[in-house]
Amino acid sequence: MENQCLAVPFVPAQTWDLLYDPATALAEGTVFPGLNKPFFAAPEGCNTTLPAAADDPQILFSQYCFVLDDLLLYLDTHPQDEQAKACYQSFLVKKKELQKSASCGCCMTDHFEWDKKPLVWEGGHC
Amino acid sequence: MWKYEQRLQYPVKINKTCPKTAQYIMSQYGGPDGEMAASMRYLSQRYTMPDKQVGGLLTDIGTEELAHMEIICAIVYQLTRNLTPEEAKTAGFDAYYIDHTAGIWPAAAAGIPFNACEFQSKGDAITDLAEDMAAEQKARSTYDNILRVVTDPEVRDPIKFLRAREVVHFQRFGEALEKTKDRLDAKNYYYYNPEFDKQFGKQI
Repeated sequence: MENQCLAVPFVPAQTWDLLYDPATALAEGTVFPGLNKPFFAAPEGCNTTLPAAADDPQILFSQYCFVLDDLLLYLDTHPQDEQAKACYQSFLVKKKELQKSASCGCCMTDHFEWDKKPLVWEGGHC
Repeated sequence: MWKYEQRLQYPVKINKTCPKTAQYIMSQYGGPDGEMAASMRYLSQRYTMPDKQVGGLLTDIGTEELAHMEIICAIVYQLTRNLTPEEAKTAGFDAYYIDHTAGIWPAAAAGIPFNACEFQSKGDAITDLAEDMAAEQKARSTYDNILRVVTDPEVRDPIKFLRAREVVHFQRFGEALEKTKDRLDAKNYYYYNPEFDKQFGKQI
């Protein structure tokens, strides 16, 4: 708090706390409950279009990748946080295991085979 | 360097054509508080940041903004991919159609083309991080405005996701500013420019 003084912005540093599960994280746009500040015109719990992991194994890959994206930014400003580092590593392992498993061909197709599946902007994903 | 991953950070699947909504959403591609301005801002500012961690954060957030630009463009594309000549006459989208058909081109909702003057790289860490915090708030307000007027859940879901990211990025830039302040003299944070007057800088 010593940095709080007149005429300069101050934002308190986030501290490590419990995380959302990966499905909730992707639906809410953050893995950190403390940073989830929805707009009243977009009430919580109305994410109706995101498929469930049970119906779409590829969405699980998107969920893990997103948790990693959010944790990476946390680590950028908390590089000494051992709990966060361990959590990041655990999701990295989960992502790699999913990539290896037969149920998900996520990001396995070589880039030059663009015509083998729908393009990402057409609604195809990983 | 960057490598392309064949996926969107948040999936976009829109079935209903709506050129009017496309015109609103397009502003977050090429508008004053859009994702292109965001990515270019952070990826430009990072070079001269005095703190390596802050330069790294700008790289990671700037990279995520490129992915957000792709989500926005996918929304605009899917809202207009099956556009009929009659729908092209929709008020607001008609002028865009004349110049770009249903092609994707960075402009604001009011038609002003993308322009680098929509962001700054000032070469002063406090100034740039204050700009970055403001930029995240401006983008959040734009997403709030979009959420007030767009009803299709297939469009609202990815927009809500992008709005949530603005709040997270604001927090990270706030933390980056605290880290930058640690290098400065708390009696007067404005005594010198930490990116330029290197002889005064604390060695951290």
